Amino acid sequence: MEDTVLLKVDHLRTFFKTKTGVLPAVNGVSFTLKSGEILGVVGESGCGKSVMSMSILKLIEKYGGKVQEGSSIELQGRQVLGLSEKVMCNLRGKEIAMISQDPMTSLNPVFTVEYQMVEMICRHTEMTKKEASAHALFWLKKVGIPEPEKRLKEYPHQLSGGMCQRVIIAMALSCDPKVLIADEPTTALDVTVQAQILDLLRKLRDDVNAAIILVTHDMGVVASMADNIMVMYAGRAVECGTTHQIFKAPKHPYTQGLLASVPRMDKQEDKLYAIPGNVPNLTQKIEGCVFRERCDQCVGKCAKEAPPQFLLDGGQKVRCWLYEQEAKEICDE
Amino acid sequence: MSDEKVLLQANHIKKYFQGQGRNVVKAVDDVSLTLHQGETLGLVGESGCGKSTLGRTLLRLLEPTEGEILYNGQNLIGLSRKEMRLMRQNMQMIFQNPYSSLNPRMTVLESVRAPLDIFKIGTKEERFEKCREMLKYVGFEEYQIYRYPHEFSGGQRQRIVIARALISSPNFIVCDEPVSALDVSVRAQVLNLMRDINKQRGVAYLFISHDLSVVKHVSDRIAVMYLGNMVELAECEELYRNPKHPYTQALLSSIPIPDPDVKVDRVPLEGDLPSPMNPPEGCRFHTRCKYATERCRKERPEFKFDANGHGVACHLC
Repeated sequence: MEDTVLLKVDHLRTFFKTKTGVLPAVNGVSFTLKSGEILGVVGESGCGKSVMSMSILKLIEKYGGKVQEGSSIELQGRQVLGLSEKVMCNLRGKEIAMISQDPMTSLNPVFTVEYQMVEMICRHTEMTKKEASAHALFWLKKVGIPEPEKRLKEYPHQLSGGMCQRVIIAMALSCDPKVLIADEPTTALDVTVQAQILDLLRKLRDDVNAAIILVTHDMGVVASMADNIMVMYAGRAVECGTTHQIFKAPKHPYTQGLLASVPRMDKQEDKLYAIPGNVPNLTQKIEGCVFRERCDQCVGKCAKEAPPQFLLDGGQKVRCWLYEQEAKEICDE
Repeated sequence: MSDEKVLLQANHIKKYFQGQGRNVVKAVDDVSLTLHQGETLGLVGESGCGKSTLGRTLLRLLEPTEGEILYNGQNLIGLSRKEMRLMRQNMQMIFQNPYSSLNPRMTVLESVRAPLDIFKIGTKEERFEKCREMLKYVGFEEYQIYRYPHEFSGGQRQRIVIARALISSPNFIVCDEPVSALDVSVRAQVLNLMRDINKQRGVAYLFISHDLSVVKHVSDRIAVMYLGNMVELAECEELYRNPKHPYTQALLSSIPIPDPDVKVDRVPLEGDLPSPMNPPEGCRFHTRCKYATERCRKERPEFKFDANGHGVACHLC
């Protein structure tokens, strides 16, 4: 069970057609996810991390995005991209579930918690309504909601943000999905509630051995949660590695800058490192490396050619020309 | 700290909002604080604890229900609109969302010049010159000053807002979550700028944020609020080294540290924030506090300072 590959994403490219041109929101991202693994995806707003998770669920077309030909998303060995909407509906929630950023708007305000949970459970299992209701109650208990019997009959507006997020997690997990995509699950919550939710996710991972893709912009959250980390910038995975590698020996100048610009609780520093400039406009074609204009370690080659992904010792992958010499091989393109 | 000149002193501020029917929301309930010249006072707490309301009340953008606000010894309560308006030259505000706090139909230059126009400072040429200098100071090039807000990113806009707040040479700025809407890499740029302004121009900040690591980075002293009350106030280092109030302890231990090797001993906090419409009797934190005693349930703890200026409102400390 340990090392089953659950999800394999290969050269995922998602683009949007806009007035000002084609916007490649995700530009060739590849990764694999094993059972029981937590993969942290970090990056700033606009780096394509949410578009990536929507693409995996095949929900991106609703937002006007298109997954380019040549991309591949395999869920338990089955190609997702060619599937019809009908088949996808059976997969979503059952095999792969999602927790979205804003808990208050993810629940339907005009139905009770029970109605929404039962609807979903009945859709994916053979249970009767009564059984489904008991199953919903079981999960509400499991995610630590106080007075679950009472909460089941309540409407979303009667619950607090942290409580709503727990309901959503309970709902997402109630059909035993193999893969859980958590897109900024705690961004809208307060720190004390965030700590509760993160503890809960960690516990559930251990209990049900689900694989979690944790999308976030908070370096602190991934450090305490993830096994592996993928750092995204402007639609590309600029660096991948284990949590330890990324935090202790970041290779890509962007990862280094990102880590240095976070104020630390356990250290006192006088001035924060600031990455100069802003995230580039992706509708304009960028020659060479996407990070070049903000990078302080630029070499001549950076302007001419986009770097491929270099595989380093220890399995760390980095998309930067600085590591051309020491790299063992090139993994893509 | 105490020998420095007091810039702003707020005594027993209360701000109640009328809810539906007879319900009253006690957003800020009896909070006192002092701010020294050139000091940065961090104000932290979870959403709904009244930190923004307090910030706005100090500038009289919201009228306090009770209490007095002394600015350089002068009570702001009771000033007429006209007098208050003149006072506002000295006290400015920076809001959370840089997208909604700039007029989209005004160029950057116009926005930044607005305070000078309103307060009628200098001649036309002097105003222009001053704005240009200020925009240069916050990192804009000459060619950018005739552009409109939509042409700038969030971080740049927040720098424009900072320039606008600084242009009338205030002594005091209330910063309400100034970097919460910004990305990590851009946030550092804005934080560094704000710190430079504090060091170079001696502007005092009330820095409101829910992000404790950011507050720690900028503040001299930090105040922690919970449900409309101030629960702890201490110098930055002292607060992080020796948090006394159980809420502060829980808050500090909930922050994820960006280092996989550091394991934090969590003081888990159960439950949710009670409704400010119907706050608990006695100490407002007792419903979530694991040390709560009978006394905490009945009697509201007083806010007391020790000899080092570390204040806390808890019966057990």
